[in-house]
Amino acid sequence: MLCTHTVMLNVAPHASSSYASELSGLVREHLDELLTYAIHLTGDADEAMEFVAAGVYHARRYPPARLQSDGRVALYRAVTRAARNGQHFPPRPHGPARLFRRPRPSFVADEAARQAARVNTVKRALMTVPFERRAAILLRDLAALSYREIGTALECSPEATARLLAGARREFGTVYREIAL
Amino acid sequence: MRCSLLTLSSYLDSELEARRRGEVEAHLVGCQRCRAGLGHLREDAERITALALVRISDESAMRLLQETGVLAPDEATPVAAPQPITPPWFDHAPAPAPAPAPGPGHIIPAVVIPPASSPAPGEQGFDLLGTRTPEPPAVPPAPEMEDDTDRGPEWAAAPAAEVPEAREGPAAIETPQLPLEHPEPAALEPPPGTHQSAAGETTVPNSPSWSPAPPELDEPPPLYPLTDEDVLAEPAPLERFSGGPVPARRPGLVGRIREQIAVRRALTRRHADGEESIEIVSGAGAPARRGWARVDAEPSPSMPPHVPPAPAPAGAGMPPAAHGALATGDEAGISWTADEDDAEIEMAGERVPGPALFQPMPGYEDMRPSGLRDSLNAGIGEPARAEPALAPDTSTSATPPRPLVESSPSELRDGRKLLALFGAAVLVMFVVGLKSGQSTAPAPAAESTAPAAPARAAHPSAAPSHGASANRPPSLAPTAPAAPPASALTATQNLGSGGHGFQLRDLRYGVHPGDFRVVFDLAPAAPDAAGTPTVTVGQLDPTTLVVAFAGVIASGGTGQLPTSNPVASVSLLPSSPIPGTTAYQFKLARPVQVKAYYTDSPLRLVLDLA
Repeated sequence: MLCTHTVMLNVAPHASSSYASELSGLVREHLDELLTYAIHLTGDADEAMEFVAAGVYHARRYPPARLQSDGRVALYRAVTRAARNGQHFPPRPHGPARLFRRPRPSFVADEAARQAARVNTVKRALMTVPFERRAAILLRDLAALSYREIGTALECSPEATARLLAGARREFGTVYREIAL
Repeated sequence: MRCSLLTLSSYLDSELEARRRGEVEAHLVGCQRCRAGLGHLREDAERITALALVRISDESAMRLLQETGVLAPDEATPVAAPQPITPPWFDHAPAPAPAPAPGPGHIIPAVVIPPASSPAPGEQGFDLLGTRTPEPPAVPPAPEMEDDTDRGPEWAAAPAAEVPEAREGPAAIETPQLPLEHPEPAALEPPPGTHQSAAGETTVPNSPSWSPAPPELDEPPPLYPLTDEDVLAEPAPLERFSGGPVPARRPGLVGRIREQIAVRRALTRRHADGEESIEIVSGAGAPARRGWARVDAEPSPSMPPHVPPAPAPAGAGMPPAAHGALATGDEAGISWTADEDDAEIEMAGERVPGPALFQPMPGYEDMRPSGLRDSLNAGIGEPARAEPALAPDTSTSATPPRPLVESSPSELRDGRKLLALFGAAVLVMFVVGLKSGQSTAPAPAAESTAPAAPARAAHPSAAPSHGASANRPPSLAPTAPAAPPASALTATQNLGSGGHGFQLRDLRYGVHPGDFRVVFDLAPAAPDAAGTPTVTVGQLDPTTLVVAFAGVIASGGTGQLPTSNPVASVSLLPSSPIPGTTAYQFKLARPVQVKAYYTDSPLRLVLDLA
């Protein structure tokens, strides 16, 4: 008797070399922007580096459906989620293991990144804005994403993005004018 | 159209549709407030855009991609030209400087720097609508990046002209000759609303305030259904990913035990201080359970009413304090002592029992001995029953119940007294037992009337006497009969040639048809032993036979007596009636005739009892 078995293999897209090359090119193309965004979002160069690495790792594990069209936004979304949830790469130990010295990643922030992370008046005012608003204003004014793309990155609607941006600008302007005079 | 920050923000970001954008532009022509607000929004956007841009080196980028698994360890880093970031409203911004070719380990300046050519005021890319904050005069680029981390309040109070605009970091470091500010502030006229004082200082009006306005119903729908309330009111925080309130962690086992101990100790301390509102019913600090129940303030109707003692006549030997108590209207003319737990009342110089704090249960009868009860109560304020002055008033028909002090201090004293009595009883019993043990102890050898033989004294087994029964306890040895005088022996028989150095090894018995035989097995104990030892066999009375050896060491036992024989018991006398001899005493059941003789090889002494 002939038995036919159908075996379903879950072949991840990232297993293919073409996807890996596309993703690596995309990441390298936007790596500076992602790091700039993460530095001003978190205020710490080393943490920003680890958040960007976590975002890239997430994009490799869970690739976007349309890498060419949505790849950039997907990277911003992954980095924002990593920064929001405190997901570092390499993962930081939890429990008693955190008392021991953790291995430092081989990739570290450059001196330029550390200089960029230094606090000034603008950044101080920016840090008073809540995380979502801060991310929205940075994605708009620094990364130049559209409302729809910001909504994708922040996982909200374009209308909510507009409200977020307006509120973030009002709050940032108020704080900046108070502390700059 | 009404003034709306949300609309202005969307207009600034070019997110409005064309018709709506035209309306906003038309509104801006006539609304100075919106022009000022739009200018502020643009300034804020410029400040955000002017934040330092970071370029990561290829080496670090390659490591990151390799560690995250995007690149294989032996794969090269794809080099991609960085794209300039240009906001849509920044359409007049010059193109960024071309980036140098990255080399290994080379760090590119971290800021995308505009060209050094300063555009004319009319060519700048901003509309300059509304009131704009007058910029301070051109500030020469700082050699170092602005770092106001350590600045204090004096910096906040500094005039605006001294505060450089925020353009930061690596740009100022790498290319200080490039303009860091949006140019032109000196060429601008003071905007309306800006006041210039006589001293030449420029004051800036406050930022425009935004207030909600009623929505326009005939307004065409915007690109996104936006309302002013969504912005002017506080936007709802988007904390969808936050974990929410985190419940406090439950304390651990050690923490819970520590808390329980602390609570118990606190309750015990408060209870000991007389705090009646807190009562410990179980566990540490709880009162001991007794045979009576506790009745606090209101006595039970079934209980006999408590009759307070009759007050003494006023002024009859009453101390001044008691007089004062009466004068102030104290009901019973009494004054409580400081220690209420003792429930003791001082009145007219006498000790009067106070009100009964605790009543016995109905039907309860104190079964304690009267002496113990009185002794216990005497120390805690209750009078002894034998004292007539403290006896309850017998004129009343109802006999007041004897107060049973149950409060914790008195109870503690009660317990201590009981414990002391118990300890004293144990001590007395111990002393009595010690004395009785001394009286039953074996008499020391020094008290013996006859000195023991040297060989016997040297032998340790010679000290106790041995009965005929093998299981006789050795404590009965002191009860051995005392040594009778040698003159008391009758019907004596003397055998032996006066030899010495022998030892009595065994004592055997034999039942024969005509007589009962007792055999003493002798063996030489010294190398010079010779002859036969001298032995004296005599009778103290018709039923007591004594066999005394001279120069013979006694053996360890007296052997096993047969069941039917005329000998009732055999014992080794501690003191022989004949000095210097080892004597055995035989208790006979009946008077017998004794025939003694020696046998040689081996040497034996044989007694035939007929």
